[in-house]
Amino acid sequence: MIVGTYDLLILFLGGFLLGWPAKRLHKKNRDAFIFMVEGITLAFWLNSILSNVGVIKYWGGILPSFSVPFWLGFFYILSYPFWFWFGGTLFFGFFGRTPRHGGIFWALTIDDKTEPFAGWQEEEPLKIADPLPPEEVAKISIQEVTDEERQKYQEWFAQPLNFKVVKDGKILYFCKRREEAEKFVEKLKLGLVRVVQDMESKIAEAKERWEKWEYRKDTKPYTQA
Amino acid sequence: MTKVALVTGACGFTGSNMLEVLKEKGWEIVATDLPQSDRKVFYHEKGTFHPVYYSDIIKQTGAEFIPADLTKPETLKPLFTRDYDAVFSIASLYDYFAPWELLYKVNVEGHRNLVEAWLASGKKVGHWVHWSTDGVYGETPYLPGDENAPYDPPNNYSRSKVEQERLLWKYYREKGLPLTVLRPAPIYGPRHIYGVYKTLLGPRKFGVGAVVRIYPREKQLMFPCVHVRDLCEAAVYVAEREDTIGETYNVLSNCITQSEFSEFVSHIGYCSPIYRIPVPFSLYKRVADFVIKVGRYLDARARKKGKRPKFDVPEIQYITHQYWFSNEKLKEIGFKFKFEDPREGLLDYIIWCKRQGRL
Repeated sequence: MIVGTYDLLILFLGGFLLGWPAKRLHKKNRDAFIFMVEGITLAFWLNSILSNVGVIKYWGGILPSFSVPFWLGFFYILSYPFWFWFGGTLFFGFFGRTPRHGGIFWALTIDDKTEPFAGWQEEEPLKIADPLPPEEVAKISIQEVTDEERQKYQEWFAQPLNFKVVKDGKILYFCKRREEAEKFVEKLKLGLVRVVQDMESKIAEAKERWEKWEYRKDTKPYTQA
Repeated sequence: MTKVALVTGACGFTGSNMLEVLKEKGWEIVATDLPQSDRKVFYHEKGTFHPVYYSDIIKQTGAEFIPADLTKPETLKPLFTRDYDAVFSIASLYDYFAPWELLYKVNVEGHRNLVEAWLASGKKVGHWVHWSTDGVYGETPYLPGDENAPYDPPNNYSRSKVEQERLLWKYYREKGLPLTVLRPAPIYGPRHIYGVYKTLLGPRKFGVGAVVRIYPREKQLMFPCVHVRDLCEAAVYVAEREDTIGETYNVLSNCITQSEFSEFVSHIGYCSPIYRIPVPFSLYKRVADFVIKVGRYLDARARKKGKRPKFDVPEIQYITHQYWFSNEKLKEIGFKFKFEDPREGLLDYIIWCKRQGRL
């Protein structure tokens, strides 16, 4: 099996050097370094596979390679991500993982150039939904629940069903008070609520689950009582 | 004038904390729970996580203790020989592993017995604050789900709570039960050793941390939970207001994402190394579904041996289900959470666990 002479060294040094942009990119995406590990490893593995099946020369013949027994080569290639990872980890240990960290060298600096620590909220708050454009908002209406609907759906709710929010002929929300419906519409407009499913299909599914009751099988008693 | 409360399930995790909160607020307390010897009938003594009976709390809070059993109506009569400003109805069988028949007997029939005992007594109850669960929703059709979301319980325990709620709402409509339903997310806090505790114990036992990061980020799953202190304070808060009768309230801290939670737990649990695993949502779903299957297999194997698995299946389901709820309604009536960010509450709880040698 053909393996590269300097692959491990390149990966180790590459991990160490790419630690720097990964540190800078951390604020944008805290998985930046992992994506680098995945990308680089994939490229090295692809090169190994293609050169071993004879499609290309090892790194186009630029870098030297040598032949080893299959299993030795297999584990050699398998270890690629760890070398890259090792290089990166060493960089982070010396110089810090994020702009807030300075690594071991932080102790040697006179001026503290690291950024202050964030509180719990390190990332942007989770986006719930996009705000609705006016033409979509125009399709929403608040209506009173009919007796037929009440009869059909009431058992699935704790609160009396008096009002509903409807969009494109589908019920999105049931509630007791009109102001609750108005608030829901307002949230829809602002993107503060994410509609996953309309009420009719949700209740149909819930009803099916209730009747099917697949969890009942996990009921073998374990006490004499 | 001193207010009088009846607290059911007083020697359990939430009940014992409720007693402490009521004592601090100067309430006179009548506490009830099973006689200690009867508790083992309802909980699996061989199991790893069977609940502890905190009988000392009665003495510590100076509560009057009347032993009673929800499943034995005759034992409930002595509870209603006086009027109460509030009944805090906490007692329930909270065990994901329990057989359905037992869950129904305690959580549905037991509560029917309790309300019937009150109705038969003719005594006055100002407010009946009932403990349900956010589990009654399952996955809500809109996110974050509020109190108006429909029932879709994902397991036996939650199903028993739905039946329980339906029964109590019937009493509210037909017999004038002054009902307020609280739907707490998984509860943690001092004396807690089930549910959330296991999500902290897991990484501690693994020794390594894993932070699974779902892409696209909008698809992230949430982790709802509430500190027992906030829950008990909320119960007293709603009990002191007339306008909360006939209402339901979700009680939980602001939801954080599961990756934020696991990041926190991995750091606090001395996990080393912490693996960060970015995955596309479709792949995540497949792997998580496989993990549930493994969980089901382990569950079945444990049942065959008369034991219980380390994690109950409904607990594992948190990795595949989007449990994202809103606490807005409770905040709108003026309730202020002490631990709005669950990580602050979890820190408080972890300190308790550390002192107990549990983590």
